[in-house]
Amino acid sequence: MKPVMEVSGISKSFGGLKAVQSVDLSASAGKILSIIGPNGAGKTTLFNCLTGIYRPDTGSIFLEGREITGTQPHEVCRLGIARTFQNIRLFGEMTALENVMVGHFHHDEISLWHILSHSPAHRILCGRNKEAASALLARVGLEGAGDLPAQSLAYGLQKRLEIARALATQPKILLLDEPGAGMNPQELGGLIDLIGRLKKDGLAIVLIEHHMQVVMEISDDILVLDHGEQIARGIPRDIRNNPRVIEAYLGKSSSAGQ
Amino acid sequence: MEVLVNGLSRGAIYALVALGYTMVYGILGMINFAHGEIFMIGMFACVFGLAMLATWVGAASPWMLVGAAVFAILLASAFGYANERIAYRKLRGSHILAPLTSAIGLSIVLQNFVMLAVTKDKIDFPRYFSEPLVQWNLPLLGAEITGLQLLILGSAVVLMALLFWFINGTRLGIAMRAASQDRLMAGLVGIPVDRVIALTFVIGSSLAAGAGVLVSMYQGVMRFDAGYLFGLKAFTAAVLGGIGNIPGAVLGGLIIGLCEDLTSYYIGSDWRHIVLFGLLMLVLIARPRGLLGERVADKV
Amino acid sequence: MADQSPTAKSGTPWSLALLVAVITAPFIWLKVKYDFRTGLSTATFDPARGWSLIAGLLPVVLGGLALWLALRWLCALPQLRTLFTTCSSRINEHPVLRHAGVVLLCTTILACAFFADNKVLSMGVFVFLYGIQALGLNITVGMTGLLVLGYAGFFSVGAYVFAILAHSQPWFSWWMALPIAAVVAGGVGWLVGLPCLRLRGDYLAIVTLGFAESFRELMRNLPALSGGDKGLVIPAAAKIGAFAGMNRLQACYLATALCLAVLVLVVHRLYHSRIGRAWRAIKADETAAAAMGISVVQMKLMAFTLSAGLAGIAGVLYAGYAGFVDPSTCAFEQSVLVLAMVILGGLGSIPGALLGSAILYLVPTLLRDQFPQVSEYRLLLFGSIMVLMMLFRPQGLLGKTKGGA
Repeated sequence: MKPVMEVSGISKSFGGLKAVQSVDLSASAGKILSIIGPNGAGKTTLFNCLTGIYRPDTGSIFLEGREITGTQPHEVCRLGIARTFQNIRLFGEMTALENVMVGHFHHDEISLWHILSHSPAHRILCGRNKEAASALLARVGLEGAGDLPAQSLAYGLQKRLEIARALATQPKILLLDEPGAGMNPQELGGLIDLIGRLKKDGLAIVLIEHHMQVVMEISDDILVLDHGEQIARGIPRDIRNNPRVIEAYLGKSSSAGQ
Repeated sequence: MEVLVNGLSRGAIYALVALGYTMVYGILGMINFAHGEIFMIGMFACVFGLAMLATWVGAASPWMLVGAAVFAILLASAFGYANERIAYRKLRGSHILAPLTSAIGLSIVLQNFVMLAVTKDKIDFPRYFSEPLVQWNLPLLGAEITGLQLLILGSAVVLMALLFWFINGTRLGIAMRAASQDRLMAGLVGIPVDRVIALTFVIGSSLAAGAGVLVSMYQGVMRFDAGYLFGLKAFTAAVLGGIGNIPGAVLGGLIIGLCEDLTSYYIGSDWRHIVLFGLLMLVLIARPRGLLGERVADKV
Repeated sequence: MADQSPTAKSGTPWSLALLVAVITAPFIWLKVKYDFRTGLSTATFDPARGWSLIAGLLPVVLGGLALWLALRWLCALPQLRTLFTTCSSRINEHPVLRHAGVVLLCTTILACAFFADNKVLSMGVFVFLYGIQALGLNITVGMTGLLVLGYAGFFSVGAYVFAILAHSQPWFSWWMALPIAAVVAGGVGWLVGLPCLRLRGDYLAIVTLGFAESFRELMRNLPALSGGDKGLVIPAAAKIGAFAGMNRLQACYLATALCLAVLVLVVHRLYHSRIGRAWRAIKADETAAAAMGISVVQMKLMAFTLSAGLAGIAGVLYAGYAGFVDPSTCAFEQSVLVLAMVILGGLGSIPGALLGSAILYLVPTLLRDQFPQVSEYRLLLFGSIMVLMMLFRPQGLLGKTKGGA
């Protein structure tokens, strides 16, 4: 199957620091690609390059065969790449439902006249949006929380709301930046469940995650970064036994001692 | 030539005030809107200082100017410190609008406080101290530089040199730069961030007060709203040079000063603010980060 | 920029108060006299002036404090709270009730036009004029989170467009100016906003402020077009005039009320549409908003253009009522007044903006008759409101409480 997104040779440096160095990856529908690596390995920077927040110094990003390198963030989202953030970035004072409805922004375009006159067309659109947003909330397990301000939700629920908001943009690819950070084992189980369901729906998922057990359990493919460089890539079983990966995580001396 | 000298000395003063804006912006990411008022307070404090000294000592001597300048700097720094403690510190970390709004409110409060407490009308700078400086001339390349202009240029250079030495060569200055790079990290490595921020306000205010002393001599009169337009122009200078960038503020100040005097000379002083506004818009269109500014990436 | 500075601690109020007392002392207690002959100033300790200043400020401070405490006490009353929450939930559940309330309010305002006396009517005109401005400024400052400091500049663009057209065309009338001024002011806003809205942060605040100053200077420097310092008198035929058996004041009152009502509806609908959500999302987090597919620059420009257009409409209505415009219409004081209204009422809340404009216009105006010194302290009061609201109630009177409590 042809991958949805193909990335080749992406590099990004800040001053002298090479945050990402010629990384390649590809994401396919219904597959989960995980990106792992120690802190500061350049995982989030890579996401920022993919979503247009940073402009990569070199390399190219193709989405469904079309080059999107250097496209503005909102355009990238329109083209079908949605993301969540490592540190939750919800619209805190808006309700959970409204947060999800913000995600509808680019596919519910309607002329100003309809909005101002609150025409039947606008009413129908509003109704449909609300239903779709409620359905998404239900899908991530946030039934009944629609009218609460996003910032009043519990941490785990906020993480789920971010996923719902990203899904509302109707993406082809979902980039999840540490969705499981700070979750207890029970919450993690729910998260694995949710990601599994999204995968089954045919979404291409790219996941940054620190919980190894999560990564090993659900990934189809794993990419390991260290100091911005791609040091390994493959299926979970191979990665687990890769000496360079062990070295990157545990340091040189301990791997030498093994 | 005379226009150039006038412009340069005016620009040097803008640069002094612009430094205060840029330093605070660099460390807190906010426009300290009340900074122009600190400058105005420096002007008034200098006159108060001279008046008090002349009254208590009984006789006048040119050295009193130094005493009054010190008094002005101390008083304005105290105002700057109090502003930070009262109106800004609590708002650190809230939405970007909050400290800015607070600063604007504070600016209005300070202006109106001086208006109500001192006077609505203009007050004079004691001519006794400024006249000898204005009358003494140095012919240079067909132009005449007054002693006051020399004093302005000289003290501006000295103050800026002190500032550069401070931020590049002392422990506190390095702490300040660290805090403006990353406040949280600076705090974690043991830099007393609160005190460094307060110090930034104090230094910025001292520079503004120094500028105030010089301007009050230059113009001879002052009013409670002196800081508003002056502050606006100094801020424009900071933006022009690249906000947050210290050499940029100096460059921007000089450009604004020159531009203002050249416009007054060739087009008419009624048009200078319109020209300055046009210049600001042009810079924002062509070089959004200012002349010396760098692109700073948003942390995600 | 959300950071939790680990060392941030609350201040020590008494030492700060002492510091303030010391540093303000020279301004309060000294009297400086300048002697033209010697060119020297002398300073004398002048307790009388100091005490009179304090005596003048004291009622203002105490009055404000009393008002604040009274409001706090009222808000904290449990009965009132439950009453309020049940009322509001009832209203939310039954749209009929809400509609009835709106109709009631409109009828009251309409009835006032015919039964209230002239003084009330002219105050009403200004309440509505400020209401329109607060509503417009609230779009940028409150909903989108962009600070605009020179809002009066766009107000006076509208007023001048009207005045200049009325002078050149004898058949011109105020209602024709409404759409034209809205478009021109909006267009000017778009041009001013275009370069600085691409940038992050608060350039817009200073650029709009510079714009208002420059526009004032421009109008003063072009006497042939704008009448220079003296301003322009609007020809009688173009002003809002008497019609259908109403006198001029009643007509002005109704015209401003009608405009306000229409604009409230417009802004209300936008607020609850995808556009309003996009604005609020941008205010909360620009990066996240962009990542959700919102074209941030375009939406900001739209908010700002709309906001400037509303100011233009208010400008036309003002000129049509007052009958003249001069450069003072774009004074900084006016911009600050409207900003203080928005902040007091609650950033982002439409009823809040209207309430804020009513309070900040009516309270000083009503007090002015009893206490003439109030007008002197007016700006001091507005400034303090801005600082104190930010420190103690950043969400405004009618804003939602943070943390969803």
